[in-house]
Amino acid sequence: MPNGRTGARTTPSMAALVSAAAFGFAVPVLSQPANTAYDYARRSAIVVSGTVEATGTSLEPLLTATGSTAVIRVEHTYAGAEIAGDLAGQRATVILSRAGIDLKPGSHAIFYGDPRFIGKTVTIADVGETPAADSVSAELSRGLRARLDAPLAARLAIAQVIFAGRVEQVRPLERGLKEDGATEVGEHDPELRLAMVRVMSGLRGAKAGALVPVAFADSCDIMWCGSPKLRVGQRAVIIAHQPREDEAAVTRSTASSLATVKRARALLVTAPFDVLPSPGVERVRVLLQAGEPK
Amino acid sequence: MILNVSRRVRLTALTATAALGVLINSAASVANAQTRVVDMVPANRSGETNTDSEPSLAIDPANYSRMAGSAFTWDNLTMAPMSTALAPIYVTIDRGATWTLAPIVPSSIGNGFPTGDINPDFSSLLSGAPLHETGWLYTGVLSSTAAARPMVVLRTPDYLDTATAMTPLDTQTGNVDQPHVAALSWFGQDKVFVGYNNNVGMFCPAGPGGHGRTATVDVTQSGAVAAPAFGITALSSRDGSCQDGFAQVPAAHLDGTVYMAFLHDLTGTARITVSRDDNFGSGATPFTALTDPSDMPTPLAGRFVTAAITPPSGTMGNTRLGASNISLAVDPRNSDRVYLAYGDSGGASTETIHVRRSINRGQDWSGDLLNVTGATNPQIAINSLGTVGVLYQRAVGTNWEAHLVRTTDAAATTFDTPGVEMANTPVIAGDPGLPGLQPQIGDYASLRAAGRNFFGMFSAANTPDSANFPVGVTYQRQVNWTTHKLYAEAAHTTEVRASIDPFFFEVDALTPDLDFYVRDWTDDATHGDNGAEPSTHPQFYTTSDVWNRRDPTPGPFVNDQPSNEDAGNGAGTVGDNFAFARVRRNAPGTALAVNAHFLVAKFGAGSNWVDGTVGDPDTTFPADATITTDAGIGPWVSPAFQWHLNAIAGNHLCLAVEISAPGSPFIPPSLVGQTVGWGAAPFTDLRILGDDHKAQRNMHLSTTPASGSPAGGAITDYAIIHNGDVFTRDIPIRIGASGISRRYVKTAGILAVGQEKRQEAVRLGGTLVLPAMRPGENRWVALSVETVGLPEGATALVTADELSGASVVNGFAVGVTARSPSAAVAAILDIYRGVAERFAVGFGAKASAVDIAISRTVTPLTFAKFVHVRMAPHLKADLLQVGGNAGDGFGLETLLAAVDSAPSDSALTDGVASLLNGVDARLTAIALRKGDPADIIQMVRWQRQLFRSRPELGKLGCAARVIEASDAFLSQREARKVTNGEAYPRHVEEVWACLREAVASKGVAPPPGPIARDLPALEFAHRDYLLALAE
Repeated sequence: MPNGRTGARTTPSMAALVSAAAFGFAVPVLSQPANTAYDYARRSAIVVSGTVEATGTSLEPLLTATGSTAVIRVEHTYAGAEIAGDLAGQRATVILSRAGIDLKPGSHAIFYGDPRFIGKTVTIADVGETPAADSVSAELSRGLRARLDAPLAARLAIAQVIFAGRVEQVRPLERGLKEDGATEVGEHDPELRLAMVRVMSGLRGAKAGALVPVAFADSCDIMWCGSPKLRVGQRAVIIAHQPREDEAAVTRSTASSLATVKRARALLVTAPFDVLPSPGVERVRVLLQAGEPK
Repeated sequence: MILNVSRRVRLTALTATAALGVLINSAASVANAQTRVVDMVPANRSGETNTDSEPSLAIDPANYSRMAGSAFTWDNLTMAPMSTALAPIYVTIDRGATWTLAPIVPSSIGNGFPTGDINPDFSSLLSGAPLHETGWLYTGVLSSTAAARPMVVLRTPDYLDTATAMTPLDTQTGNVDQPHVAALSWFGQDKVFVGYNNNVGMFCPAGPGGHGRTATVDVTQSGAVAAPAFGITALSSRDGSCQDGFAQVPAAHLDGTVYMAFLHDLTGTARITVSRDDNFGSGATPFTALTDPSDMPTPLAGRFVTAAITPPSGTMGNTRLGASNISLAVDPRNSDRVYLAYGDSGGASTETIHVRRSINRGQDWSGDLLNVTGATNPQIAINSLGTVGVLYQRAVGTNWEAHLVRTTDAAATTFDTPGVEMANTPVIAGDPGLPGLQPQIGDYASLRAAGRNFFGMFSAANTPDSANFPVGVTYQRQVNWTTHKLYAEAAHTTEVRASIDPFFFEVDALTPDLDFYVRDWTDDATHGDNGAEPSTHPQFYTTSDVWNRRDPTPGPFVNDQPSNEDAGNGAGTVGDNFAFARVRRNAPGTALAVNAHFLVAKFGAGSNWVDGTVGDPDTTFPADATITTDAGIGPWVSPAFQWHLNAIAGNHLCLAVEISAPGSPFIPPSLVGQTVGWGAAPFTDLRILGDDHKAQRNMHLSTTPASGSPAGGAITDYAIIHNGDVFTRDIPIRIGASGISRRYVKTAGILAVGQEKRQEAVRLGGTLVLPAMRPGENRWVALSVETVGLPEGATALVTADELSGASVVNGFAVGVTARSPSAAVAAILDIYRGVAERFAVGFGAKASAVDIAISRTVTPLTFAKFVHVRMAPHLKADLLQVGGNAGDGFGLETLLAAVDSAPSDSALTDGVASLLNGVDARLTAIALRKGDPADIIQMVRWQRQLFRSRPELGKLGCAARVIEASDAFLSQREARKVTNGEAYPRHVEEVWACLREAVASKGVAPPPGPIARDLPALEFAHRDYLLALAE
């Protein structure tokens, strides 16, 4: 995703979902009305409920207080604990969206936004605020779910083969492919290996019982350590795609070049969400069903 | 004397030797060191267990309080797939005391890593961002925003404005790797150099053309414009078996020199290689200035620094080793001096780091100055004192140590190993979330020099035991130092396991309370130099905090800028001047006495700075001024420093100050005896930019004569062109007029004095070349200016610029000011009195001296009579007595005739003004023919250069003694520990026999002795010998 290319902050989750839509997924979120708890939540990395303590002020030394800044006391963290921990009980600075409700000191609300600063305190740039009413809870839950599902949906959108399976064999990809003349391995070489995965339950493009060659990055270099690793005996949901030309540089070495992957007739799993633990199959099934063309 | 400063173009390669004479005070600096170490993980990320490795630090050159740091830092606490589309960097505005995460680097939601390799650098050009005053921040990054993971150059005008992500400027795809960024600002342009490995084809042999030449640099000459143009240059000129090493590192200097270092032919005959460009990486064949003798007869770009090495491999301290450990630094005082740190294999799974240097622009390299086994991540930097710092991490037992070592000697070759040990932390077994993540502490760490201090980052375990941090540490995250535990929150409820954190450090050679400085520039009441070294405004000579007055009061400050008054020259009070300096410091401290030492450079172009230690006959200096501070930060204005300037020719001069305080010295060498400007070694402008204890201001002389008629007038003035270098060279002088002056300058011309046909003078826009000027040689030029329509009170300037290639490296100007007849006459009579006194006192010719009292009664109505009856005849008589009227080349007889036959009052004032300029210049020329103490230091530099560079002299048995004596003299003089009067006669006596032997060995009869005792004569005789040796 070309985030930031214009210098403006984009909405990444939206970009991912638009990308998914381009591959034929019906993305229900797009049909939802804007400026709802659902819409705000799916667009926000941090969602908290809290009480406005003061407006026109800022706890963050790097952020000048304006009429749009407020300090809140967080009561509950709905999303974003993985970014700055559970904020419950803490004070935070919010840059109000001005698109939502009128907030004054003492107002109780839910704040949806992205992190701007994480220092002694957290600063959140709101995409919206809603009243902290029970009526929003269902919408909020769905929005939070959509946010979590967005990166997975993006991977589903580009995958040609999706199945639950078991890894039967893992071997170096380049074995027997010395015709490449490779001698060098770069520091960001993915060290691609080939896993032969038996399909237990096909979800797209694979039938039960088939043996699917799947290439994965075995390297734990910074650029690959977060990529899925496959080990013999592992049961997983595989969301694999055909190697794309724009991934050519991904391979980063002659020993495991894109051509080598293609020669092995292997599919690729490269992103963290390309391989899920087996229990994730139901989540994938639901997303796939939601994304089937109507 | 600098009117325009352009980038310096190399005129000589001789400065390497001069560098040896550069003294530093690093031993004392080390003793004064203070060290701060800060765990950069903010309080609100206390639950974080990431492996925040491979750190890089960027410091805003305009304000060291502003810094940005990068590492492999996720937006989440556990290295889970990215939650947002922006990776954070660490930012501070309080010099690293507190750090905050600012998510501004484009990434991707769901991605397995925040960014690949990332390396930031600030330029000093203020971006004009509306929210915060800051320079541009540039970053090279292996981006996670695209499947191809390209190398992207990013930029932000405001690293604190997290509302806007960094903007991509240039994208390079393929098997690209490890961007290393250097940015600097030069007259409003950001030069950005991004070294990276460019394995485009991804096949061996790799690189464009398939020759394994992958070392590459991506360059823009104007990074701050809306859409910067980038261009890549392949650094590797020789085929390799596959590709070059992963790291290609730049080191850029304000004078246009840019070095690049890389590991050529990683898997073949791996050799550390250095390339150089002398013009900011521009031109048709950039980075080809260095070649290697092994390629002869066909020189190829890139100098080999080492023989074949074995790159490190395996794992040390749970961190992989690779071909990434190269670091390069160029001395901010002298781009000839460049230091390199690199690592090679020390055996299986261990690395040895090495430090080498070149003092002749990368041509020749030393052996190892530093060698540490079991160490990795060497980073090198050079501070404004010339002290070299090396950061490295060493695996000892089951711990990683982080050390900063620094040079302690004048030559910067001896390190204080083991230096400052900043951390001694356990190796981390691995992260449960991403087991085996590499590199665990990074393929590199980060070291920067800002001013006199060293700043940096390293990654290490945050295991909370104070014993792990021998110099102390500050944690922002929640920690219990008693129980040695980390916690996720302030209540210390949830324990957090140890992980790798980025640590910031500052090791001070000069603490802020001792960091006194004189401003090089002030823009307005709220924007001024804060003591940054080098200073961020290349034009340092117009609004600096050293200035002159014609009375003992400092005068008003307009926009917080001092009000300079042009200096007066002449006898008595006409030549009395009062210099002032304003001093500040960067933090409150104890009250101290700050010494202010003033210097003046006279005449036209290329003159040497003089002070009270020189023995210059034209200037008189009292004892240095002392500024007594209080406990605050200033500013404090010095007491009036009354100095005197005799009548001299040429109408521009420069005033400078060097301050020093206990524990806070100026950076040697002193300006004394050095040539003003960038046109000749050793580049005093850089010394002023690079030392916040030095400042300079360029001035006119206030006695510049003027036409009495606003309608028009013609003036001739004279200036000296001096070759202040240590080799013979042609000096081209181009004359021009710019700005409003073009409206009023009708004609102008310049000719070399002594040129017989005046009609051959070079006209406006043309260039006069003074050929084959020898070191210390003075030649005079006459610059004639004719104006038209100049309003009363206005000045029209004609500039005379010394050129090197197409660049202006030095210069002066002649101005004509339109005044009323009475003011013009008064100014002219002022000059006449100065000339008359000079005849009488300096030359024993007293005909004109009788006019001194009478001239005070002259009015415009009686001026013509006074000139014809008294002034002109008396000047003729005095000139005759001193032998200065005939065959002089100054055209004085012509000028006298013009006065005699002046057709109008206006023409008369112009003619008399020109005549007095000529007479004064003639007297100066006569005086200088007897020798010039201002050139004494230059002569000793030249002497040392001759004995070092001439094989026939080097063979003499006494040559080493001459070089040693020269070094000793220069080190003493450049540190201002002795005066010429104290040291020069002794020095000449010491080397005299060898000079005679040397001259005799060339088959030339030695010039006559015996050794003179007065300084001018001694310098004259000394130069005679050197001229004979240089033939």
